[in-house]
Amino acid sequence: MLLIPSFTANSNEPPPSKLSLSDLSMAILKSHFFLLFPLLLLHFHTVSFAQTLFVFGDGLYDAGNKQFLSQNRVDASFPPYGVTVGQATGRWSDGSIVPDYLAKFMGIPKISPILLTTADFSHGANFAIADATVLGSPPETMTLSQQVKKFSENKNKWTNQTRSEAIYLIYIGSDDYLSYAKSNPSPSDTQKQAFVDQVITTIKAEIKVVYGSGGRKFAFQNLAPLGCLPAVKQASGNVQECVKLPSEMAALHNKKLLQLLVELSRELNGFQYSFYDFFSSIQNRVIKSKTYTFETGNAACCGTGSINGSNCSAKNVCAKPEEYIFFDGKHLTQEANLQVGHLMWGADPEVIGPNNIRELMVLPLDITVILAGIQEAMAAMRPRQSNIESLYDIKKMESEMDNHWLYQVDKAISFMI
Amino acid sequence: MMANNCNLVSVLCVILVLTLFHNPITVAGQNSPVVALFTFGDSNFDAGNKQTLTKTLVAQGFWPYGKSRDDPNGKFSDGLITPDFLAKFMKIPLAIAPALQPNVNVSRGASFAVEGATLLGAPVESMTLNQQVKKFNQMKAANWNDDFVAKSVFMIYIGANDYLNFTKNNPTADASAQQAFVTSVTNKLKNDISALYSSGASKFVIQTLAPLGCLPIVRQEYNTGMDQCYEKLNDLAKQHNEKIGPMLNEMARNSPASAPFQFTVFDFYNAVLTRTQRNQNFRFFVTNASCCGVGSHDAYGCGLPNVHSKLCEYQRSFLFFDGRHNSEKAQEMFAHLLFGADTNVVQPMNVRELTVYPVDEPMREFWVPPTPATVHASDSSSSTSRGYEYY
Repeated sequence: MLLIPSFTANSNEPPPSKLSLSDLSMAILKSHFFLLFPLLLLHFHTVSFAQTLFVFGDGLYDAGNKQFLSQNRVDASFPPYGVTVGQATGRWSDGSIVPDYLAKFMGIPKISPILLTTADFSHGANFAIADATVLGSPPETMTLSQQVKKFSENKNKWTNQTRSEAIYLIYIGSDDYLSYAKSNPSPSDTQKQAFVDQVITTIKAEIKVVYGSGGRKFAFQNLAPLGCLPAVKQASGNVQECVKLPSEMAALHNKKLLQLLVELSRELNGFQYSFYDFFSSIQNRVIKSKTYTFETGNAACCGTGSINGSNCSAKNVCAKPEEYIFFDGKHLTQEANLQVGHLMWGADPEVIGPNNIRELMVLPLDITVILAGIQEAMAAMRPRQSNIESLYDIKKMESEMDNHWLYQVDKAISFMI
Repeated sequence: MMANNCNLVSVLCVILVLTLFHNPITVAGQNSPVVALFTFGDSNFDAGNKQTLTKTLVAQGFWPYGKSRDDPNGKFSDGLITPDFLAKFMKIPLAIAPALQPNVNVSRGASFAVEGATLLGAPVESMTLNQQVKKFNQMKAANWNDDFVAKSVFMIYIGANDYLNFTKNNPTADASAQQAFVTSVTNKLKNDISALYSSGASKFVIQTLAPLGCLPIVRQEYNTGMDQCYEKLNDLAKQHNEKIGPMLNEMARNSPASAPFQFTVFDFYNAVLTRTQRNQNFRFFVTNASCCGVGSHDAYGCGLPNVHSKLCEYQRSFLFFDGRHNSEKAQEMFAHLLFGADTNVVQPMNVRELTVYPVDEPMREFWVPPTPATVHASDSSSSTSRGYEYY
């Protein structure tokens, strides 16, 4: 990331009052940021230091919203969920989920589910809920639009400044594609594209609503290879391979999602994003489980059937969840969530780009004006946007820009003769 | 608009610029010479050879190694290592693969380095530098022609394990015993480099030893506390490093004009030391402990299945990823230094200059010992030392 210093009359603004938090443990956690901060103050117009996290999505990010909407206790508020931490909070795992780890690394408390109205939301709120989709109106859950609506209804809990500096973390779409694959076993390419386009269009609209409320920092986790989920494999009858169609839909969605974010970064002033390649992370762990310290990438820890893909209950939970990637048929164990948290927080641009979450957290709010200029230049060189399909393409574009610049320099020098 | 009396000068300028930009060895980097990068030594440059060599599962093949790229592949880093970045700067489009692994593309170089490698003795499930050179010779005929080998860069980092073992096994060694040991180690290094030279290599990059006493695993094992390094090992490293430059000068001067020996020395000792002393200038928040491991300095056991290692969340703030190996961010810094820094860091020329130095030209500048004016880090190992003069 190229950050260009801008010396203006405001460069001596005091840091936001958030830094005067007296909580000792917070101070220790953030002690390294105190060192980074003076450097930022000297060089940047608007210092930004996100201490607020808003979470949107489905069961992967649900921190306990489902139990408030579910009539038949189809939720994770009972064992064996939470078994590793000794408490079932409604999280679909044996312990902490990705938003919990990101909050921890940011130095803020875990983000509570919005439907738990008595909770403390000073550092953000979690709107994610199991079975959430982008399209349609499934029962006992909240679609992305409903979650964003809930956010808008509650937005006065936070100041404008807080909402601008906050990170908006989103993981959604799995359930759309899983039900699509179930009801459309052999769609044509055109049909697949059309469905993905519908999903992406809706996501785009919802991002714009959040942006309209002041949101600037968006972190997207792309979709897992859905065909590799134990529930899906078990339902297909062949547990040796990942099911093709759901993974294909996920890959297509991921490509379009990245293109959407690049487009929005050009279109919307100040829009910043992180795009995490969760698809590759899960693929790596399913194929080379032991390399990533897991005994298996095939079976879930909790459930019935040949790979424990369904009906997780206290009667059929494994002894060592940390040896598994999947806790139940669709969701990750705490151990897998921890690895994902580490990757999202601090990995290189090949894994999460163009910024990781830590970089996104401190990226000054007005910096994208300059970045937009670079993006414009890149766009001018590459008129066909569909060339961006993955994080590698962004890196490739940047290095092509570099080479192009060197070529221009060469040409310019030749004029000096 | 040029005055008449400047015509000759402008013509000369035109000719100069034309020759500069039409010389195949050009500044803009679009025409980097097509050469290979070969690395030899220990775990610092091991690209995955140890994994192939040993039957037991090795820690570096597992998460959290490789965490920056989500790719544990046998390298001792959270991502790429210095030779990988150096190869990128040299515009080598392939990874520098571990030579011992089957089915790897070695057309632009390979790594012969193995974790645990030494100069002397017979390290278990590893290879001495001499054995690595022999392996190179075995593979040479099938893969690289003589011309290509002569133009390629041979980078070596070795000796750390010799001194670490010596200190562990001879805790009461006196000055003369140390001196004798350093002499035998450096003599062996000279012999092994000569062997490589006899095989056709002519461009050598020798990386001096790190301040071994400052490695987190050493601080941990010798209980030096958080502010001090284990000076005995730093001394040994310094004694070793002092001999490198003069030894290579001699080899260069004695080489025949028909096959000039070319080299450069990268002052890795001070590159690491200065990062422990002025860490904030290099954006490292922690330089005396590891990102991954257990113990007083979190230095032991990263990647081992039976060790519940701590794992830092932001490895880019750490100088060391595990007990003795640098984080990817530091590795990249070192590659920048190797490729393009001044003679106070890499001398007598940097790797870029070495790569384009004509293969049939003897060296005209040699390694010179640093004088007080060029030394840029004090000998104090205290991480709180400040305020020494640069010039």
